[in-house]
Amino acid sequence: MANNKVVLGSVTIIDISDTTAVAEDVAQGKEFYGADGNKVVGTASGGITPTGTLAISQNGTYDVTNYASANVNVSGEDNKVIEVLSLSSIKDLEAGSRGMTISTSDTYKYITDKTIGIVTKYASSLMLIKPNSSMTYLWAPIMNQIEFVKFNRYNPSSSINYVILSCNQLSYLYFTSDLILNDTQVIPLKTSGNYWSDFLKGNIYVPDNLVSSYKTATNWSAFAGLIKPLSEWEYYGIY
Amino acid sequence: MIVKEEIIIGNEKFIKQYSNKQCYIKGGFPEGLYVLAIDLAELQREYEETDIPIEDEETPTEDEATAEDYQSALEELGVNFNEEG
Repeated sequence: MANNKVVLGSVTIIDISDTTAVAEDVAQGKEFYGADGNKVVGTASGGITPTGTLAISQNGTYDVTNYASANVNVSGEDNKVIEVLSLSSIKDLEAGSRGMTISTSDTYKYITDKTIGIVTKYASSLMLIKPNSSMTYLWAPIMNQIEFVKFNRYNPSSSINYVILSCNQLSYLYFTSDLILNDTQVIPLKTSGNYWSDFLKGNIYVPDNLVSSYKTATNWSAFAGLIKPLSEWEYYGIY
Repeated sequence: MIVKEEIIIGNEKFIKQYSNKQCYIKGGFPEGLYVLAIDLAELQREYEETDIPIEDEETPTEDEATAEDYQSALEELGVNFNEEG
């Protein structure tokens, strides 16, 4: 019978009863004594020693198990976030109201990063265009809700035409690029005019679980044929 | 009073609703205030007229900027409608 404790009088000579190691913890083939005093042979297989450096230049998930380090250098040139900078600037835009045009030289202080033109004209509208190009723009009248609009991503230097838009409501739509609505709830569309549909050249991609909701939502239902699940967007998972 | 008009878009029948006193109408999905509401006829959505006047720039009137107005505005910015994007 194995012993895990030796006591002489009132003195404890040996005590291994508090051993916590088990066979799986100890290298395979090595012997040790367990908490019950019995000799145990370790069963743990040997691990690997990470070596080298993994170079990562694109966003994604990588297995770095075998590498001692990872050198991450993802270029943001094509994915820079462009957004309205501050509420004070937005208030200026709202003050413009109907008929006011902001010159393109003024607009750069509102939209950062790239030479995007923005002009307010006709109500509280917001217009983005791709400079020195054609047919790549989004026009989003938003009726006093400009402060809630954020163009999460717009890439004027790319041939890929899309706008990812997040806002709490839209008045009506006028766009020639794919429109990506990635909010987790249906965005209210406050009105809809028939003739606008003549200028909708792209698709409206929404979260997959909201496709049926959008297709039956007020005013959105008029554009049901353009509403697609986000997972079908050709750049889904890339941008 | 809420005005109801039946319209056809594609092969689908829709009901267009709006206030004849230039006020918001309440209801729809998502529920809220709408200047004008177009819904699939089969959904039979009903709206309640409010006393909240629609701001001038939101009122759909004959003076509302037309598609041509917006094209013109874009052309001022150098957008060429004759080119493919």
